Amino acid sequence: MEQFLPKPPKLAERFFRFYCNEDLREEIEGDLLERFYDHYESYGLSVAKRKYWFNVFKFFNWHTLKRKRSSPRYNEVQNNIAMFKSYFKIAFRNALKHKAYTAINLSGLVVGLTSFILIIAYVQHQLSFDDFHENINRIYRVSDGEDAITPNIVAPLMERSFPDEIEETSRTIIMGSQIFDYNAEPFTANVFFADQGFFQIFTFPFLEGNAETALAAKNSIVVTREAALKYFGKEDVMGASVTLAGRTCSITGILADLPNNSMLDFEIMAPLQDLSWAVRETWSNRSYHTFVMLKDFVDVKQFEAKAETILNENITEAFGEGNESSIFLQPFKNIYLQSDFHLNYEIGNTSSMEYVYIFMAIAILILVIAGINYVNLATSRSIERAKEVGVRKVVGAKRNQLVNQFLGESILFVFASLIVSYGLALALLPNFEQLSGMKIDQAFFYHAPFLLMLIGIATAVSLLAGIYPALLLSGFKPVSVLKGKFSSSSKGNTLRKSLVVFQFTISIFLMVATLVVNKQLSFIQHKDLGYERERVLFFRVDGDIAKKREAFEAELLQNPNVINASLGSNTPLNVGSANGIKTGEGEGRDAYELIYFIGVDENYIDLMGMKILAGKDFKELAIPYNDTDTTGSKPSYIVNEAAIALFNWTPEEAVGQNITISGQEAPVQAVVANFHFMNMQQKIEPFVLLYYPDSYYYGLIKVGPENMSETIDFIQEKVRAFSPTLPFDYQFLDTRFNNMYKFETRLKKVFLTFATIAIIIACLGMFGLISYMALNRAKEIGIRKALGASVSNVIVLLSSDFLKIGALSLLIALPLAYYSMSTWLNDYEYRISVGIDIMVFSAMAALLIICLTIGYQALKTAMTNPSKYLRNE
Amino acid sequence: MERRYYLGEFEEMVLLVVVVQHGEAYGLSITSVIEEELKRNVNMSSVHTALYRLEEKGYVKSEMGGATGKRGGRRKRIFLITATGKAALMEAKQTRQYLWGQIPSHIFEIGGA
Repeated sequence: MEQFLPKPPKLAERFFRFYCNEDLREEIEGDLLERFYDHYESYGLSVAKRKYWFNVFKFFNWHTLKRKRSSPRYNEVQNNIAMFKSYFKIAFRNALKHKAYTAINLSGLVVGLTSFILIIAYVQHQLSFDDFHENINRIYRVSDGEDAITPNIVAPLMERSFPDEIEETSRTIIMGSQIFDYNAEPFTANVFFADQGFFQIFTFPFLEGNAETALAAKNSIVVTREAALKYFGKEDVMGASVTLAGRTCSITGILADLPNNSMLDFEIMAPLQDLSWAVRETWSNRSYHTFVMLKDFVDVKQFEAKAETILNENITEAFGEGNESSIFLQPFKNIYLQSDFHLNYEIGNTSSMEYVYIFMAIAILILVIAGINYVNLATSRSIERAKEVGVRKVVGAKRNQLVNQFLGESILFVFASLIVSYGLALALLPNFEQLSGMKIDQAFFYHAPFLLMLIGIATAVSLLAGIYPALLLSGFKPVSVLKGKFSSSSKGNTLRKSLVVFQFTISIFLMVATLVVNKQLSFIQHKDLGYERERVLFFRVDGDIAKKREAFEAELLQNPNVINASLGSNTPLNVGSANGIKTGEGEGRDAYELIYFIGVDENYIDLMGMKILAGKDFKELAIPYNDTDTTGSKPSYIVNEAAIALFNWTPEEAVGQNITISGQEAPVQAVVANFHFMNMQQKIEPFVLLYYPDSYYYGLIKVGPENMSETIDFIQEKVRAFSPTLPFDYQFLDTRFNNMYKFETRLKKVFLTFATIAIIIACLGMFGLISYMALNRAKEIGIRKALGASVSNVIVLLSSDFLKIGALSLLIALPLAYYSMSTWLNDYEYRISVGIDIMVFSAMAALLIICLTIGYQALKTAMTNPSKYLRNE
Repeated sequence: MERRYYLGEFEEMVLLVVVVQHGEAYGLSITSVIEEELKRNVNMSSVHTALYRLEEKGYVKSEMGGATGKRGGRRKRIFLITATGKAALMEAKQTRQYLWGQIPSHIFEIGGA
């Protein structure tokens, strides 16, 4: 042989080593090399190298890739199906043999999976909001980062300035209920007013009419199919005419029902140009949601900066320096879940990402608890399966076959539960709607991605929950198991116990959370608001009533059950408008604070039960605010404590002091005690009550507790008499108040439901565990009893472990819950503290539940005649 | 006749070479015999695959041994026929012989059709 030996290509060698399995590498590499030298001798180096490459590629096959080289296995392949049959048979027999165990295990899984399916359906529904708009990714709302609404001028100005970037704009006013008249039958419907572009931007399919022209003509309106049926009693209402605010409008389009997951929720859409006060382009009139649809290629960030420059140029032109404002383009798809901004004057129908997260976390926790149950129950029964494992091993089962068997069993259990849960979730959907406050389409359950996800989750659960029992059971040594020397390891016990601790930690956490939410909610609902909301009803009024206010109120008061009647611009619960109050020198922004206001009449303060701290009520002194322009007289201001706190006055000092609100300087006539006109999450802000007859939009009536329905009929009659076209849609103030806390109310329900479920599943698991323990220690207990242990001794023996588990869970859960619930409470300006009472109550409840769960089994075991345990020996 | 063994045509050939080269048969040597003596084009990897399959079926067993300098010091996997393998070969041979015996005698006579 020559001295010089060429080498095969390095890269080919490396590639071969990369794919070839360890066991085969040496022999094949040797063969390849030998072949290489053969070729080298016969054909030369380059051919040999090429052939070497070819061979490396040709060896890339099933054998070299994956298969472990093992000693020959004879005729094993043919028997697989028989073995699977055997696995299933054994699984079923075992399930039937231990009915209680199977029931506990399955019900835990079913409850867990059902909760999970429902919650995930809800979450998906939330995340799917507004995704039916074809151009959703190009739709933005313009805002200044504080208010959702923008001045009238913004949309037209942007459209004129950026013809290259903007495809369409639409100013939209969410008007709420408006009074219509159809064939002399009045009704109120929920109305939006919008520019013509609205239907180009948003995808609301027309059943009749078309998106381009429906809002083009003056006095045209578009109704949804649902509204058409509701108000006109038929679907085909094209061309019908209705009266709105004295104008006759004709219906130019009918929309398909709005999807359940539409944030924009209206019954009737009318053109913005119909509102005479709305069309003039000004900076001062700010009631508009400005929607823009950008062209395809536009970079939003850059465009945002450009738009800000242009708008601020215009502002400076109009108001001078120092009035610049920020401009944000908020993606429309982010509005519903409020994932980037929390703005004032938001469209009512929004949710929050936070809420979605809470739901998701609960779903996962419940699933984890159910999974843990499975692990615990499966491993705790290992003794019974140990003999089976031993026999299978003796007959020749390999460990991985046994692992597959037990994993297969868990897959069987989980998928059986999944099918039951799926049906159950479908059946429970209506109940769940109450809980989640969302109408979720059933169709959602049949979507392929949803089903695939469920299957994926179920597979993951069965593998995660099945792997530990599978490894444990398959690891038994046949000799010791069959000899009967088997005992469960202390390691397995520790694991089981830590899993139970984990379950109880979650359960206790949810329990505390429920109690805290409940306490905060009841705090909110019982807090002294600074006004009375019981038996106060309110309704929209029109000009006819406002003009004859005194006569109207006098007529109403004739009924002894009408305690008081008043008109105002708003109820204390839907104060929206604010002005500036001057608190400093100069004209800059810093010189003003925001002050909220409502216009009222002289009965208002009395009716609402607000407390005058100093000064005179409007009953004694009232100068109409609308007269001040013409007569030059100074208006009457009644302000709240928060307003005088701006100046550090006491109520007595404040009366008679001059303050300037919205440029109008006038003395403070009286000071009223603070009252909550906003959510409890917000601080009470400065407030001014104006005597303002031009702004009466609502009637408020306090009724007596007797004959309420008759009283309401009476009121309706009077409203009819004064304004025949006005529909009497009244609402009670306390209902409205509770609606403000829908989120909290729902949160309470959600926590209550799922805390209960979590506790039930955890208890099922614990019940299974104690049953197993009692069985496991039966002989020990028998001997103890034979030697004189009393029933109580045995009970203590059996339950002390579980009480320790309970105590440990409490130690972990309580601080955790304290911390996270305090964080939640911090969102509220007015709040409770978590409190020792809740902690003590939770601890007691948890321990009591544990005692009840284990009590039955412990007692049963302790009372059994020891001879029953011992006679088999 | 009941068939108890499954042996493909290529497998049978490889197995025969294993017997022929008794004690010396490994992947490359078998490939060389098939290529050079039987004048049949074959991939080295197919021979290996066939050998592994035969081993799984229990017709051959193997051991490592016989490293040479030409192999960079790597050992060969030497394949040996097992009793089952012998039975399988015998059965294949008998099947053929039986069928050959059944052929009407005139067919392979000179001038036969």
